Amino acid sequence: MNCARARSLFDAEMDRELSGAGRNRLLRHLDGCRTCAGEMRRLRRAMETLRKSSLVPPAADACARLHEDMRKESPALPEVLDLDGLADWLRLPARELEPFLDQIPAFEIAGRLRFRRSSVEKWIEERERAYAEGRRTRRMRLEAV
Amino acid sequence: MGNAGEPMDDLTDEQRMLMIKFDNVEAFDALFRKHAPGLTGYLWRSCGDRDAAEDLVQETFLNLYRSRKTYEPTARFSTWLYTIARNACANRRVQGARERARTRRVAEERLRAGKDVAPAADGPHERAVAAEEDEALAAGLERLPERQREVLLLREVAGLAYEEIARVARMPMGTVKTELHRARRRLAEALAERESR
Ligand SMILES: [Zn+2]
Repeated sequence: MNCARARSLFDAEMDRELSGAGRNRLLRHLDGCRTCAGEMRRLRRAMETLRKSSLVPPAADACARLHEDMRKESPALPEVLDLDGLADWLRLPARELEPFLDQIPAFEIAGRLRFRRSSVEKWIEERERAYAEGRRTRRMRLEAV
Repeated sequence: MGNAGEPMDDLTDEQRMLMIKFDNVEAFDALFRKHAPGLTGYLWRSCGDRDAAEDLVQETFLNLYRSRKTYEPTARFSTWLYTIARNACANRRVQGARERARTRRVAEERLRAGKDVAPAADGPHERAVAAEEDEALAAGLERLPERQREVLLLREVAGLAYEEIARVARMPMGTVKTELHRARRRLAEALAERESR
């Protein structure tokens, strides 16, 4: 192997892509050629310096800070909601919710109305089924016309 | 990265990402710990400001969390991560050369004050050597053309494969190879020159 051929393999060697006989031929050349060996050593050292002094382990509190930000992103919804909370959750002004108050599962405590989110979710599922059913019959009616 | 006590170690990044989709915080932390060192280093060496780089990494991972529900494992995770980070970094860079000059001055001051130096050094002598080495490194990187610096950092600091670099840096594979080849030699020359002085 001549010097030009050896040097053309330096990148592959640094990327750990050489193996077997090809790699052995390169290593043999490096053993016998001081110029190429010096060049290879310089390259390796430079890349090691670059890596060693550039990798930054995260600060001890980095994960905790991220969790904090994540919590702010998605504040856990309480299991029990008041009327305003329920309206917020359903993306409606509270007064538009009032006509439905006799249907939405609720309970009374200390003279106030409260909603359990899991019960309301079940009620929503019923409405989803009713809506899907309604859409199907509407479509069938249209096709019959 | 081989930590035998870590049950998450056998998973691929893409599998972890799917777990994060279902709000698995442990998977999120594992991804963060694995990628934060390289990502921070890449951003730090690209923009020259270590604090800004650490902020950008936090921002990137928060964005990752925000968009977890729409993640599809079509591309390698690292390609996706570095593309997000690179865009965030480019957005900052748009703020202008004046800002960059200012951060460079700050970086130099920090360097002189002994901050921004590889964390391995502890004694005063090691710290001085590391500071000098770091200064040489920063100067060597600064002298590289932008594309060469980018490819070099993505390969050596981020540890991306050639085809991932091609995607992230939007270059043909052949260009990635030739630019990396040149960048490695130039940096090695710059550091050796410095040493022999
Ligand atoms: Zn030779």
